[in-house]
Amino acid sequence: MSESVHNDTGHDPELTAIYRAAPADAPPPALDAAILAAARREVSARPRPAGFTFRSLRAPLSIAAVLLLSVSLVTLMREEAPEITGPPRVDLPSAESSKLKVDRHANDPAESASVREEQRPKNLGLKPPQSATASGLGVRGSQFAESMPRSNKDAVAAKPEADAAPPMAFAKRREAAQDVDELRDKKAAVSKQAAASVERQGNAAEPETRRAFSQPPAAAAPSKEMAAGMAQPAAPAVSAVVAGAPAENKTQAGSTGAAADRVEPAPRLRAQSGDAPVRQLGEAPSTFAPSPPQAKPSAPAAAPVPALGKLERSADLAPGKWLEHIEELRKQGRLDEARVSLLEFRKRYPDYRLPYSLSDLAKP
Amino acid sequence: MAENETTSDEDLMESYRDGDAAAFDVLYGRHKGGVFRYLQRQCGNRGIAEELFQDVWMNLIRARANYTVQARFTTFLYKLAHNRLIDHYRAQSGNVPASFDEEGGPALDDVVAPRSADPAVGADVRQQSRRILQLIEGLPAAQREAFLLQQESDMSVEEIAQATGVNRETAKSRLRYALAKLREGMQELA
Repeated sequence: MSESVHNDTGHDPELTAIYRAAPADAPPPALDAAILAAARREVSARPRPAGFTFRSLRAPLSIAAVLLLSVSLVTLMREEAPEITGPPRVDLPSAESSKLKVDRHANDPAESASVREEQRPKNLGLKPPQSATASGLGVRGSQFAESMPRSNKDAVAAKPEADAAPPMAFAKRREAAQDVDELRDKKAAVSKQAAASVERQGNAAEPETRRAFSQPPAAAAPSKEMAAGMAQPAAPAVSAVVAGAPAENKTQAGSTGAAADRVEPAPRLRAQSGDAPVRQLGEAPSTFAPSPPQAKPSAPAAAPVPALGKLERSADLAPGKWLEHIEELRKQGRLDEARVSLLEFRKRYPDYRLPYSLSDLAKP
Repeated sequence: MAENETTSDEDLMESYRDGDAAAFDVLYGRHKGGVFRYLQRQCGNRGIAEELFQDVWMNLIRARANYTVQARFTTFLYKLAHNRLIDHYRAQSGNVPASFDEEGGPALDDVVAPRSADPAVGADVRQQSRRILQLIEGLPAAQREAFLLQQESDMSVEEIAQATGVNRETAKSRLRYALAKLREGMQELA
């Protein structure tokens, strides 16, 4: 066998010579011209290689796409950040679920209170106050609610005062709120006692009292108090009556001032109660010390006013707490107050299921 | 760029890719005959060969933008021609000739060895050329392709394998069978 056949190149010079001696076919000149023209057209039509545009723009497009994606993600995360970091935002609790939970824990006040505290932030899902609207400026939630429209009052009343605050701050504020409530209770009790003493001494001091009350409100109200925003014209009358009590009642009145001195300047109140005669009260309103808003109950209406005050304060309570308060009133035998408070509660929370113990109060 | 005979095919093609139309003229002049003969002798019809020939060059023109030097230009060009030919086979008869699917053939020991004498002895060159063309036409398509690629473009066995999409051993086997059959046919002529 020939060496040329077996080599790796496979060349056979003899056959190559014979093959190349064969007539060389070639494409027709017209075909040559057409192909060459097409080649020139291709070059002139697209001086840059095809795909140049995409290749050259690939990097900028990629960068732009990455930037766009990043900006979109950051924007999206910023929009969702409060929902992620804040308490879970859910709808206000339905009356049914509230009823179920309150009923379940109605018999155990401590447990129900803990359950309420547990439910507050979750159920309400309200954001913590950004400003000191309800706490930082010393404004109580109830006062804040009073300044709000009626439509928002319920929500604010149902909202705990520090629902989204940190646990420690919430506990402190709750303690402070309880202190203020106790102070209110004491002041209301003092006012009741003062009113009772005034009634007892009504005959003795009737001329002066009548004279004091016969003054028109504008004349009775001291101008300073009006300027100070005191909208209760009867408030000075209360002070006048307390100050005009006989000597044996002065001690009581003094205790009134002592009880109230946490709220109002004690020395001034004592000075009035001790020194100012009843006659001067009506004649010289400028001598009145401005009584604080908490001391506004007037003497003739002293009996219902504390109840109304309690009602207003009860309205600030959570439903469960309010019901506990009503229950306490009932246990203390203050059935009228309990009924009034329960009626108010029913107006405020018509769908709230009442505990069995209060069902008899709800009956007309 | 001033193209001359010493400029390689690869450089010419890169010049054409970059917009030098004259480089294509040189390339075309170098390879138009070989490609045309390869196609004509593979398909056996001049008209079809012209059509395929035009398609091959048009494909090269379109592919110029993505051309990168990865192998010899002739390998790239004849691969285009081979692919176009396979497409033609499929369009014509629905499948490619069976020889393209064969890995090899009978054992080389069975192939007639070439005679040691000069093939031109006893016959004139023109007669031998006609005979060899007849013998080439009678070869299986795959073996014929291997032989034509070797003769028209001076491809090595590896390049033939690369252009036809087969491994080296297959290309070598096809080439050997083709040469053996051609020698056998030429012996008969003598």
